[in-house]
Amino acid sequence: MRLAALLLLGALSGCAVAPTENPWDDLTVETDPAAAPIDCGSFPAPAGATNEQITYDQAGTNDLEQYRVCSEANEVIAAEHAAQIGQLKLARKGLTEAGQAQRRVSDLKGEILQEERQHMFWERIGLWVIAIAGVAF
Amino acid sequence: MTWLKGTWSALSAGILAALAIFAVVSASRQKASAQKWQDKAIDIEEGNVKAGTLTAEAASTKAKLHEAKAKQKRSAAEARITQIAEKDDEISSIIASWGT
Repeated sequence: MRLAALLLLGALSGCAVAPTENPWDDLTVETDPAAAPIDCGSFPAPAGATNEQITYDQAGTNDLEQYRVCSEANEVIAAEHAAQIGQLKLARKGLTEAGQAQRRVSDLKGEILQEERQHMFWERIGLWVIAIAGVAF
Repeated sequence: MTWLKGTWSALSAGILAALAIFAVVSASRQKASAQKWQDKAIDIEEGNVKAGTLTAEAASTKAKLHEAKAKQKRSAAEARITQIAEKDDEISSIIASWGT
């Protein structure tokens, strides 16, 4: 009976901590910039010019239209690019905050583990004292 | 004398056992209380992890949307530029489009 009690006390040891899940397993943040701007070339030259007016023929007017469409598209692309950068900054901020919180969780779990070890140590000493006192009694 | 010695030993052992039991029980109670607060702190921090991750996911999705819009605009503009490159649009129709 005494031997069984001693064996039972001896078996009381150790503690386990579940592995932490990675909350960012499914998260991917692409860092590719938005579409690159279109090369618009140089501003279309007029077909003729005097001191009072410049003239564009049909081909020149088409070139002007091409230039207008290109520059307006580049303006939109630049705005979308800026908005994309803003969102990527937010994503980085969110990930940084999550990382810091995750680190605090890890620190807390480390403290718990440390306390648990100390607790187990003193608890085991207490149980051994009870057992020895029981045997002596 | 022997009887006194035996009684004294039994009494000492009993007191020692009682003290040890008290220590074990009070340590267990303290541990349970500390565990409760630590669990609460971990819950809060895990909530912060989740919130940060969700913010990042939402921002990442929006960033991809902006990228897609930019690419779409580029494709549409390139198609229109190719069309204009044929240079057969009437001047009047081009000037009319400038107002819109």
